[in-house]
Order: sequence, then structure tokens, then C-alpha cells
Amino acid sequence: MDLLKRLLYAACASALAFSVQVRGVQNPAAVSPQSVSPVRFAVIGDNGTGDGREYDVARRMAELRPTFPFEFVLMLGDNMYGGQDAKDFVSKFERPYKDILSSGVPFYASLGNHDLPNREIVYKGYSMNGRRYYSFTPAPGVRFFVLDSNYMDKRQLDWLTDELKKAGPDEWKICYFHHPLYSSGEKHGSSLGLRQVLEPLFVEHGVDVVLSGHDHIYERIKPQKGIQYFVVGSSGKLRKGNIDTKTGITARGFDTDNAFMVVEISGDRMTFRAISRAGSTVDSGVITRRGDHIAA
Amino acid sequence: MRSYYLIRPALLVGFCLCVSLVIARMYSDGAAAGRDDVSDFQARIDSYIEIQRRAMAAVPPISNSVADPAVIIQHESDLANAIRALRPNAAEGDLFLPGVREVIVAIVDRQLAGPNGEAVRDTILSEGNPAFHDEDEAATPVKLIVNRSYPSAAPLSTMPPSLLLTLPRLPQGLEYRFVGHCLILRDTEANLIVDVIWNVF
Repeated sequence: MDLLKRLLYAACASALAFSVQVRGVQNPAAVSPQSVSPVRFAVIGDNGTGDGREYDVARRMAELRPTFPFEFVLMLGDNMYGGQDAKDFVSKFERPYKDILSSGVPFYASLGNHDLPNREIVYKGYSMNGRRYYSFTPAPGVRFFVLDSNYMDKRQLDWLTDELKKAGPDEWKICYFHHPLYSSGEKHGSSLGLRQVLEPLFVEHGVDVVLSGHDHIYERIKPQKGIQYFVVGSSGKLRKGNIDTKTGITARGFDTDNAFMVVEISGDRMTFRAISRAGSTVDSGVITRRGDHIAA
Repeated sequence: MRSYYLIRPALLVGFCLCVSLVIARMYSDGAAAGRDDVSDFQARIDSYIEIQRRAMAAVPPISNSVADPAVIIQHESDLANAIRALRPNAAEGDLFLPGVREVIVAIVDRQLAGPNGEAVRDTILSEGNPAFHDEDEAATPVKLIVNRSYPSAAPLSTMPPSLLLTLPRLPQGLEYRFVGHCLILRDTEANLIVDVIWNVF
């Protein structure tokens, strides 16, 4: 059975065909229990426009699933722009992602400034179960912390501190929320007030990866204080040419078309790929957990 | 003549002491008054939450995982109507009395004048504030009328964390948001505007 799992995993890994150059992995030969059953997910942000670009990206995601069977989707906020009537839930979520939803893939949403919390947190499609912020563990060794960056009050900060303390030292700690602590987007840029309260907690508790949206671009930030930050805010909206190339924090940016991300976590390695609306890979790489951040 | 020269500095010291005491007393009275205003505000908030609780008990409950968005919207509408029925004469200033209004305005002023003032101002005015919407988005006016629903098409302003950490704390079910330069108290369950402070800064 174990051999069968390994063979299956090897087949899946080949199918991924990620063009990454892995450098500096501590022990690439080591196969941890999690690497037998990798965790695969997709990431979208600022998607809920209900227009053609959102549908194009959703189609591209659905097309990828047979070769990269992601098990769930993270939503980085602004899940629905404009109205939030019953018809909007259909045109901006249920219809574009119909193929993915019908495969039983859950979406785990965070809230953006365009989202109406009281409606979205109890909507089954967003898996928030009545909570503005929450954590979940899709598989042993991987823990997500989903925050509401629109309203970072003491109650939420206390909750986050407790949750981070509960996480095991060997777990992947991945936070996601709408406003980026680091961004080269000219429209919004880094959320400094938020950084002031969150970054010390992330550093103290060994958060590995942080995913945000808000700026309508894709950007991988150079690791900051040992943490890998991504901005994935162009899965529906797009602000062309909005990356400020002079910030010095960009490891890779893409702002000429919409994009989404797919990620695979296998043991201490996280393999990521950013894919454009047209289907081309615009960024890819491998991150190792705790400290050694490696990118292609 | 000699005693005059001795008395003069003593008088000066005495005068300074008196002035210091008066100023200290004024500040202390101000702080105490501020504390009273905040306590009174918290009591009014508690009363509102009790109304919200009664309204929730009066409408059919919904679960935390509803597949049909129409059910969610209907529940929100029912809850808002139930609260309106329980507060038929609700008016501006019911919760934000003049005293706590002054306290809140002073807190915002201090934040804006502080070392991170520019970032705080940017967050208030540009991060989802419906009065300063993105150029590629349609404007959705928010009418600041007590007991009116917050428009579902309007974004919600992002609150600077440093401000939230210094404003009087709110229980779950209520939150602060900015609309333009005005601060509103919003019922997070019923999506209602509960009170307004105009032109906080």
C-alpha cells in the first residue's frame, strides 16, 4: 500500500512538471510522512468581479485540475465586488467556479474591503462557518491562519497569538488575509499599520508564508525577516503596469495579465507556481520551511 | 525692605504651585470626565447589544453555513426590521453622546498627529472608504442615517489597527467604520447604521 502511494505520488510529481531550480534544500532525500500525501491547493485574490477575466482565470484553474488535483482554494479577499445580492453570489462565485465546486473542492475565504462580512461568513461556499477569522488544518503538518485585515482589533490579535502558540514547531504556518504587509503595488503598496502589529507576531511564532491580495498584481516579495510574502490580487481584477520596480522588495512581479497560484506542500518543501490567465507560468519555485527560503 | 525680598520669591513659588495644582486638577477632572463618558458609552453599547439579542431571538435563526444566499439576505433584512421595531425613535447621538464624541475625536486627532499619522490617514481615506472609491469602480453613496442599512454594494473602510487599539472597545456585534471623514457605529449582524459622528477629522 505504501509503495502504491509512493508510486502515485511520483506520477503526480512528474505530471506537475514544475520548472524549478531547487537550491540549498537541507535534506532533499528525506521523505517525511507528509511528502507521501502532499497537500495541494490553489490561491486566488481580488477575484469577485463577475466579468470575463474572473471566468477566464476560473476556467484555467479547472483545466489544471486533472494534472494538478488541488484539494481546496484559498481566497484572499474582495470575493465579491459591487452588489452582494443573491444573484451576485451566483454570477461572481458559483457560476465561474462551477466546475471546481462540482468536483467537491472547498473554498476557504478571507474578507476584503469589498466584502460584506455578515453575509459572507455564513455562506457555505466560503467555508467560514460564521467566523471573520479562523484557522484550519487540511492535513497534519500544515496550518492556515485566516485573518480579517479590515478590522484588526485586540480581540483578533489575541486570538491570533493564541492560535500561533497552539501550532506545533514542525507545522507549516501559513497566514492569509487581504491587505499585504509588503507590496510594490503603486495603488496601495505595503500596509504599514498592519505590518506594525502583525509582523512581530509572525516573526516570533515562526510563520513561514503570508499570502495577500488588495493590489491587483502578482508579486513574490524577497523574504522579509525570514518570511515569504506573496501578493496574489489579480485573479479577477487587474491593474496593468502597477508594480513599482523601485521598491527593491520584488523577487518576481507580474502585472500584465491576471494570475492565480497553485501550491504543493510535501514535507518541508513548498512548491509554488503562478499562472497567468493565458495559461503560462509566470513564476515558480520552492520554499523550504523555517528559514531557508529558496526561489527559482 | 529685606523681608520684601524674601517674601517675593516665596510668593512666586506659591503662585506657581497654585497654578500647577489648578492645571493638574483640570487635567484630572478632564480625565475623570473622559472615563465617565466612556463608561456611559459602554453602558449604552450594552443596552444596544441587549436589543440586538432580543431581535435575534425574535427572527428565525440561520446556521453558520447557509448554501442559499437568499436565505442569508432575508435573515439580515428580518433582523434589521426587528431592531428598527425595537428602536423606533433611534436618533443620531443616542450612543455617541457629546462627551464620548469628544473623547473619540481627541483619540483620532492624536493618532493623526502621531508618528504614524500619515499612514493612519491613508488607511482611513483610501482603503475601502466608500467616499473615496477606486477610479475603476462605481460610486455607491452611503447615506448616514440611523437605522438605515449599510448599502451592500459599498465597500467597508479598513480601520487602522492602531486606532482600533485605542478607541473604546466594542463587543462583538458592533464595529467602527469610516465613511468619508465620518465615523459610524455599525451593527455587524443586521448591517445597520447605529450612530454617526460627523467630521471626526
